[in-house]
Amino acid sequence: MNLSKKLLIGAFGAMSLLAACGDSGSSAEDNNPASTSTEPTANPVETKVEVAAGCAEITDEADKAAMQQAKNNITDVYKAFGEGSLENVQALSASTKATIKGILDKYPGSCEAQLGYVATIISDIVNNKQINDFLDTLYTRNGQSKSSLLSNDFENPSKISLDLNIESSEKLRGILVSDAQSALASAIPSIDSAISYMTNIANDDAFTCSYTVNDRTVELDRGEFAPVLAALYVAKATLTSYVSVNLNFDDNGSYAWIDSLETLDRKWNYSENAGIKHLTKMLDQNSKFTSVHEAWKSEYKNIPNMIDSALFYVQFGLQYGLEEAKNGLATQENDLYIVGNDETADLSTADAQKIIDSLSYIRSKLNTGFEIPFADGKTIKINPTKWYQNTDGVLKFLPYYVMNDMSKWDSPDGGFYWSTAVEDEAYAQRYMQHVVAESYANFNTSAGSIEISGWDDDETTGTIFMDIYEPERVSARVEYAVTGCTVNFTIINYAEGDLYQFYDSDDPIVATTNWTIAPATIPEGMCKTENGVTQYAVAYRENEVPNILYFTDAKGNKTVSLQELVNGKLDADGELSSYSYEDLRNIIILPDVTFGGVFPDMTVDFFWDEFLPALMEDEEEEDDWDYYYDDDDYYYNDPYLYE
Amino acid sequence: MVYGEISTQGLAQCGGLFLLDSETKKLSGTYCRIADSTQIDKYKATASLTHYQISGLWKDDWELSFKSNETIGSAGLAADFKNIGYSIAASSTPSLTASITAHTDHSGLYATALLERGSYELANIIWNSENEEDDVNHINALWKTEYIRKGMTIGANYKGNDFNAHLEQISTTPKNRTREYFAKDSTQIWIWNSRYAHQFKQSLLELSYTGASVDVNLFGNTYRDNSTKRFLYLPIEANLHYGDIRWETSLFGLEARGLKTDFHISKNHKRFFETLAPNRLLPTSLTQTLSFSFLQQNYLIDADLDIAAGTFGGHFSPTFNVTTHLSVTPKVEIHGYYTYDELGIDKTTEQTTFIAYKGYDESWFWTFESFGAITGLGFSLEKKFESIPNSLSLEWNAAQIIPFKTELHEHSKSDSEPASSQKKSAGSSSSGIFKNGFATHLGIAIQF
Repeated sequence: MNLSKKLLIGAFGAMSLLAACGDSGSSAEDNNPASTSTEPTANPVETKVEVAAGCAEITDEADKAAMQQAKNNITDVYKAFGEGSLENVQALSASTKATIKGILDKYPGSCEAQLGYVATIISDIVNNKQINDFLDTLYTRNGQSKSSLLSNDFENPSKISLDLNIESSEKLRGILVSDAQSALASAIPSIDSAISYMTNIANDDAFTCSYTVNDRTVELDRGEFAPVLAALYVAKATLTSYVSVNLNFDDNGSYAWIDSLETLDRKWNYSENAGIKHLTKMLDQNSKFTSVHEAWKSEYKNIPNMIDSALFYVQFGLQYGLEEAKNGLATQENDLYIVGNDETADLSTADAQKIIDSLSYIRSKLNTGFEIPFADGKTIKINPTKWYQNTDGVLKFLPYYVMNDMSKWDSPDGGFYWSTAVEDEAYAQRYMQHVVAESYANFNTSAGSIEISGWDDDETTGTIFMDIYEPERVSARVEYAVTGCTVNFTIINYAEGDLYQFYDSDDPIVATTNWTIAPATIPEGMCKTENGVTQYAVAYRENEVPNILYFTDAKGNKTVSLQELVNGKLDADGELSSYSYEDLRNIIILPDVTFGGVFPDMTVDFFWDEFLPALMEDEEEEDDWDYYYDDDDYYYNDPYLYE
Repeated sequence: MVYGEISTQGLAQCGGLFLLDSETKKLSGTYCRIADSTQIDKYKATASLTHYQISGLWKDDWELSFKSNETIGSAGLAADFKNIGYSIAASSTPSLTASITAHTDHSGLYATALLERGSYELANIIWNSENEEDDVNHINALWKTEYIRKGMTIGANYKGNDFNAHLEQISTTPKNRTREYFAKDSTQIWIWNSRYAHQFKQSLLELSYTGASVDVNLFGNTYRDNSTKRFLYLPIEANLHYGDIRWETSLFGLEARGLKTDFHISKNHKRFFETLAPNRLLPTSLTQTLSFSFLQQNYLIDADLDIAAGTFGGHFSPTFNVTTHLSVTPKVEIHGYYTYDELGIDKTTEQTTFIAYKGYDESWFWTFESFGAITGLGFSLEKKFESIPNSLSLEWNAAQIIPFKTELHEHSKSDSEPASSQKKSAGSSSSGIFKNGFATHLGIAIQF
């Protein structure tokens, strides 16, 4: 794992670790609305705590001692976090909460009590009922204990990750993305409260808080509080982006549609496939998938401001470090990091200034956009703020297209020719393979994935091969004979179980089977008889793609079908070629090439002439199989290819 | 030494020690030296050219290698008067050495004082991570030092008894370098040795002892944009005691040697004195800055190495006069050796995440025991001429360590794992032309 990932986790870890100084009333939790069954995701809750500016001292000696004891307990909570023992964290944080809440009630202006309170609010996340209930459901469904689901490794003591082993969609049945989002959303008010207190703490440049960790005194001051506040903003931005977007991919609480995609290997019933049906629904232009939940729109649009606040507070902390550096080690000896120019410092003043400057630059560009290189010497401006201003989802940026009615999916639409022979790429081939696979699937309902392929032997006859590996090995060879649009099948070889008999026998093997394949009729659209002559639709390139959709211009006039696009076009001399970018720009029309202003300088010309070709270039190079055939040296020097 | 005449002597020699050559660990060194000296009356001029190369490699999840490869030229002048002698020499490292010797008329009593100052490129240390995607996956550090060496020798020579004692101090001064990664050290070395020899009619008895005490503070630093930051600190203390007793005739010799040495690195809990602080090694970035608050990791290491070794054996070297002017001396040598060594390492990994602290201890302990023989073969050839050159001599020696028993035990223990012990055969795998533990030396001397 690279360091930046570790840091991200560390930042979250720190956020959750701040959890340690306590409260008993858990006002944040009280503010959480119960998730309702009608709302897919909990609504955002405005949680702003009025905090008197400045830091007051704790005056009473007994309270001071109690605060000191609470701080010691806090370090134990941190330690428990470090060890990944969640149960201990929950117990410890609960016992510390009461003490700190009591002190805070007595001294509302004490930054020390506020800091402890912030720590407890966040540690409350481990006591959050909704999150715990959601996790409990996951544990139960997976038949695992809580401790095994929460894995903790030494490299990242602050990393607490879910270790789920989802074997089938059945284990997820009834567990909705919106449930997970609701659970996460219930943590946001806690972070809001923490932000209110931390803002007060970080703004008081005189307040410091000392802890003893493993015999070492650690002094926290603005240099540390400000980055933690930044981490809280990052956490809030991240959680908000997780919970705002509609990512529901269940079908009325079920994920069986994912399993049904497996039957697509039977090569036909796409329009009847529950998976395809559901995907089609999700990608429909009226679908809410990827759009932002109504209640979360304003919070979602506010994410760039949260990021800006995070960047500001990192600067704020560094600036404080720079000020401290002017007095040498005097006020920063016990800081987590020391700013200075000699060997006994962590960060030089020049580097701190450099980072402050670069953060200023980033902040200034958040709203206007960054130039990002996308190819040699070429850049494109990206405006991240615009991304968060679009709450309608990404589907509206897809090119104009129309989904065909499912009854048309088996009728070829462009990119093919009529032939009197059932050629290899005839749509009839795919249909016949489907008939064989479907017939066997009906005969043996326990059969798993069916591999089916075939070829033509002459104009009207050919062979279809079927292989099944699970749960039992089955192999079959079937011959077809086409008369007009009717096709008859003969099972030539059929064997179950023993792999060797498939290959060692010269004679046809027909195991005892009652499987027969009824004659079938090739559907209209791929087979036609005119004046007594039967012709078959043959795809230019490949017959596997159904006629799902076609592209249109802005007015809804059809420009090209998906099948045409895949199969290429014939030029005036009858030569087959792929559509060029020049062709594509006229037939695939993007409603908004700036993608809602995310790419403010993008134009249609730039998109088709520069941007897309550069993005596709790498992939094309990888896919260039001609290399193996064009390069004689390579061909002859490779013993395997030569054989 | 002949006064009042011109006398010139030339010497060329090469040698090599090939100690380890396995897939994961390598250690070898070679050197060649050509020296020439001319004496005119009371004055002597010397010049030499030395080339040496030492390289080592240790592979684990990472690869650490060091290489020291130097060609050093030096020239010196010496003058010896009735009761006093002076010498001065300079080398290309660069260094400057001066000495003064006071002695009685026939050198029955003498005392020498020596002073040297110079700088030296000790080694180039290269570390590579196995994983190229690590934030820091390559470090190339130069270790250069400036030193002062002070020495004093007193000796007496009376009726076949020869005694001398020598005391020397070397201290180095850290010097900042302008390279992204560099090592520097602050070192105090004391060396003392004494020798007593008695010349019998047919034989020589010699006893010698050398002791050394080394105190090194080695720092690994980064230097970027005029700012130096420390990421490594190794305080090394080492002591060495070496004794040798030898009885030799022109035909054979008997010799016993003993060595006891210990190295110690101790962990220091003081800030900026951590053994390794990777956060300060990271390139300057927002990631590095935030890492101090959110994920600070330090390693503290305690290490002890104890080496005890002894040899006992002898050599047989008859001289055959082939002609009046040509003599050949073959040499057969055999010594038994025994060594018992211990290495213990305690590593503490400290992690601070904001104020969450986690400490984790791991320890390893290795013992190494071996006995066997060191055999040597050699010959020297000397030819005297009546004209110039006066004489020519050629010498070649080779030695091989032959272990009879070698045992390496490894014990490791971490906070989460119980102690384990495993025995490994540390057998000598041969590689290339030379077997491990092989040394050779070839020399040519010519006198005009």
